[in-house]
Formats: sequence, structure tokens, C-alpha cells
Amino acid sequence: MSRELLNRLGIEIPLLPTTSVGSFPKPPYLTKARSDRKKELISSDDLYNLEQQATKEWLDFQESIGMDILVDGEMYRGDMVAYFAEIIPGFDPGGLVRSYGNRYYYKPIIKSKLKYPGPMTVEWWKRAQTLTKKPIKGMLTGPYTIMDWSFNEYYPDRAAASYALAELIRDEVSELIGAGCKIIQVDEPAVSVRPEELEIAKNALQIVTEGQNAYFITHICYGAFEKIYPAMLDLPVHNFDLELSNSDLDMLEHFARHPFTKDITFGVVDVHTHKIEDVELIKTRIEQALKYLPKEAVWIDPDCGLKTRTVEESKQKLSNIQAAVEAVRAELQE
Amino acid sequence: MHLFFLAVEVTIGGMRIIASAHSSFPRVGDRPEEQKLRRAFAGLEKGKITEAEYKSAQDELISEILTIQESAGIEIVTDGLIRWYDHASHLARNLNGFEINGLLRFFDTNTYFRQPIISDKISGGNGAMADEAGFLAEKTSRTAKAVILGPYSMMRMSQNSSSINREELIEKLGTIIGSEISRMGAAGAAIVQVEEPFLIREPGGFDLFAAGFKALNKARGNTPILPAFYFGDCGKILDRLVDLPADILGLDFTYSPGLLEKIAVDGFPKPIAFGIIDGRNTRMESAGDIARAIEKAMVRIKGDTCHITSSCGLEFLPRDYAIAKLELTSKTAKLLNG
Repeated sequence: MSRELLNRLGIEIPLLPTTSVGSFPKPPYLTKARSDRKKELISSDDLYNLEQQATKEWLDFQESIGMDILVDGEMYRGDMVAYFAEIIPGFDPGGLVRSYGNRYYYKPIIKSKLKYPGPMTVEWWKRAQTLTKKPIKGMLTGPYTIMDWSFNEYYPDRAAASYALAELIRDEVSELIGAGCKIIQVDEPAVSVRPEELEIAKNALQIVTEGQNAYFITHICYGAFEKIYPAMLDLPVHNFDLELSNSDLDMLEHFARHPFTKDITFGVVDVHTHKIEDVELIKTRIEQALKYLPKEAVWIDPDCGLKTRTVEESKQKLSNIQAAVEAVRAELQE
Repeated sequence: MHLFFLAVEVTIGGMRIIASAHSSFPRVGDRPEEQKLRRAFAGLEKGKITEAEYKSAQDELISEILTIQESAGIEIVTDGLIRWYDHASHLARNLNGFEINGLLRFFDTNTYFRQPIISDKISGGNGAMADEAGFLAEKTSRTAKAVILGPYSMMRMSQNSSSINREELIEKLGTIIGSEISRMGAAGAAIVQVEEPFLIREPGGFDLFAAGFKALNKARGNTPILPAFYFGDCGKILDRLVDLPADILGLDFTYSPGLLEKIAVDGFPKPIAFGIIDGRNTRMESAGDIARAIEKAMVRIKGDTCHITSSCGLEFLPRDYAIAKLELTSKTAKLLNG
């Protein structure tokens, strides 16, 4: 449990703090603007202003429902890997690859030696943080995941590509901390898919976080957690943000056998269904979690980024999460 | 006679090498005109087009993909699996007694599948997969290869909520899938590729796999089959695959260090579909290097026809690279055939 670290960093959190994984859906006006920008129908300044507007709307919404740790919603990003690949020299944009259903992403290609281009997310974080007193997470994609979700035509193997990326992400973390960011999430959703490479992911995250004065979270989703648990607890972060509801909380059995030794951000709603989970169901899931996890170590959020849902669906899911958490808090305090 | 046996007439040293598509193909490209199916899917989800209109869009794309394969010099073609949501749920939707659950990652790809749930009432299909095979055969003059997920991988990708135990279940799935294969063959598929990616990751499941395959073989009738193993080291199970009742074996050589050398030394008593063009990376191999690597193994194989193909389906690559890999496949086949 890392409440002490958060206190040292000047961050106070309530019991069962609520947060989001990172991305929110773009409002229709921003989706249209991004399309218009590609066709050069609007200027980059026009797009930027609308991205700012959407960011503010999402921050206002999170505050309005009482969430504790906020995110900027990534209104200025498309895909979580492509965003960085478009900025980092050495990448080629690659092309569209299907993820599932009708979802596609640009899978970039490492063509030459990768170089840190200077701050990639810091200005957005700083601007968002000026709009709220609540802490906003710095949001980065992890080196192992960027490597795994890219084609590699340059580095001799996957480890070398991961470590080269880790050096760049470390520089970005330093920039975020320098700007005042205290909570940094390094998303590593790919980390569970090749258990034999957990060591590479761990070494890469070590490069990113070692000696850096921040509270680190990593988000992992849609993989075989059971194959890397409990070994994954050795990843050098303070908090694991996990997708758990999509798989009917089946990881709880594993937590029963091997206690979870770090903080956990517990996913309580499925982000791949239009169905809105009601407050009672979410409350039940939280209560289930608390049977296996110490309440001081548990944060609550959706399973994954909400960008594939509509704005309205996302707001309903988040509102229900907040209401469920408040109900559970009240019961715990009775 | 099936087109499979007529596909290539060139023979060198008694062995023919046929350039083959593996299975899937990217359903969109980067250019707007290459994204018609994506727009149609979105239209279907929003209720702006009908199921029939969406199917027409799929039909049109399959025709385009066949033209791409044929232009690239591919002799054994597929429909690119563009009607599939994913390997497991496509099969489940077209059989009876399955429900479809949440998303799970498909091996170490950034591609996901919806997990089928098996009930006590599982039974044979609605004929849709045979219709798909029939459409493919009708639209091409090349050898039509249909694709289906094998019983072992289907069982491993599904959640068993039935009262059927694993031993009974694998036989039941084998029979059901074998019957589907028979129908696909009757509808025009010259050969059916039976995908079993799970087995290589779990060699300990071989006996269960073999039981399912035995049931499949009994039910498939005369339709030729090509069991395909990928995303793992095929060398670990090679000796046990020898006796599999199959016409040809599909092996992923990109995950199997030393496998070509092993075959070059020990020989192999069955034709092989060499999955050697890397379907997971954009880096382009040299046709000459691949041909030289295969040559020594090829002469030790019993049979007169082998295939060369990608290590897995090409849907994990952007479309332009997938096309380049198809061209590389046929170029390598030409080098090998002399």
C-alpha cells in the first residue's frame, strides 16, 4: 500500500478513490474536426482549440460527479501507440491493422534508431492540471507495449527495441515530474500475452521508473493474467490497473491463493458493451473485490479506456461507478 | 477432380511447390477506397444498411481480394476470412448451442476474439460456412481453400458451461466440425484448412487434440484437409504429427528454430505447407534466401506437392505489406520450381 508515498507527494485520496483508465470518447464535433483536419478543411489551430474544449468538458464532467483522480481523456490522441510513434523519430506510420470487430489501429514500423523528440504529453498535462485542483494522471504508453504493437525492422530483437523505447519514455517521465506531475500511469496492456517475456517488460519498466519521484501505475488488460500472476507483482510500479469485470472477476481466485501485495485499480465495468451496468451490480463487484483485497489498497475504475463507447454511455458508466463507490464507502464507515 | 491437384503443372525434381494464401487478409487498406467494408460495418451497426447490403459489401470485397491474390501469382486462394468476426465466434455463430461472451486476446497479437460459451445443446451448423466456401469456389478459377477452426482450439478458446466432460466434448466438436468440412467440400472447397494454433503452445494436450481430430477425420468425408499449426514451435510436436490423417500439414517455420534443418536431415513422410514468409512483421525477406533455406528440406519430403505460404494469416499486416508478402510467396515458389 502506497498511501504513504502519495502523502509524501502531497496527494490525499479517500477510501476507494475513483479514476479512469485514460481515454474517453471524442465528442462528435471533435471526431468531425479530426476528419476535417485530415482533409485540410480546418487549420491545426482550429483542431487544437476543439481538443482543448473537449478536454475541459471531460474534466468538468469528472469533477461534477465527484471523481478523485482525473484524466485528460486523451482528446488529442488517436491510438495509444500511434500517438507516440508519430512523434518519435525512427518510426514509420505503418498502416491500418484490425483489432476486433470494426476497430482498426495504425500499427507503426520501427525503421531506424529511435530518438527522444522532447516532451510529448507534458504541455497537455500542464494545461489540463490548470483546470482543476484534483490530481491528473500523466498518461504514457509503456515501452514493452509500444514495441509489441509495432513492427520492428531495425533492432535485433524485441528486448533491444523495448529497452530503446524505455529510455525515451524515461525522459518523458522526467519531463512530466519536472512539470509537477505526481501520478504517472504507464500503460502496458501487452505485458500479459507472452509470459516468457515478463522479464523484458520488467527491465524496461525499471528503466522508466528507477529513481523517479512519482507514484506509478501500470494498466494491463485483456490477457492471461493468471499466467503472469503473481510474478507480475515484481513489475516496478505501485499500482496495477486491471481489467477484471470483462472476465467475471475470475482473477479473485488467484488473489485468494496469492495475496495481491500492491495497490490495485479494480475495473468494475466492461468497456466493450453498450449495456450500462447498474449501481447495484457495480457495488456487488466492489464488495467482491474487498473480500480479497485490503480496502486501503483498492482504487476503482472501468476495465479499460472508454473511447470505444459513446459519450453518453461513458458518462453513465462513470456516474454509476461513482455512485456505487459512494454507497460502499458509506457502508464501510457505518 | 479437385482443382487442388491441378493447380501447378511445373515440376522440378519431382516436387511441385504451390504458392498459397494462408488464410486471412486485411479487410481494409489505408486509402479511403479500400475501406468500403469498414464503412458498411459502421452503417450496419447504426442501422443505416441492411444485413443483405452488408453481405453484398462482403461479397464485393472477397472478389477484390481474390483478384489481389490472383494478380500476385497465388495459386491456392482463400476468401480472406473477411466474413469472420474472429476465429472462434464465427464458428460458434454458425453452429447451434453456443453463446458469445466477452473479448479475449488472440495469442500474443493485438487482435481479440469473442469467447464462445458451450452449452449441452451444441450441434451441427446452419450451412452458412458451406455457403461461404461455395461462394469462394464460384468466384475463382484458382484452387479454393476454405478455412475452419479445429476442435482442440475451439475447445480451448471457449468456455465450457455444459455438463459434457473434456473427452466427450472434443469428440463432439470433432464430429461437428468434420461435418462442416464435408459440407464445405461438397459446396466447392478444394481443400479445407483446419487451424489448430493452440496445440503448439500446449503440446501436453496432444492426446485430446488427436481424439478430436480422429472424430473430425471420420466425419469429413472425402474433403482434403490441411491442419495448420502456427504461433509456436512446431518442432516440439513434429514427430507426433506424422500419423495425423491429413493430406498435407501446415507448419509455422518463423516460430520453429531448427525445423527446416531437422527435416533436411531426417526427412518427412508427408507433404508440408511451408509457413515461412513472416506474417507478423513488415520486414521483407529475400525470395532467394527463403528458396535456398527450403530447398534442402524439400527434397527430403515424401510426396509430390508442397505449398509455400505465410506463417499465419496476413490480417496482422497493413494491406500493402500483405500484398507484398503474397508477391514474395509466389516469387519464391517460382524460384523453387525452377
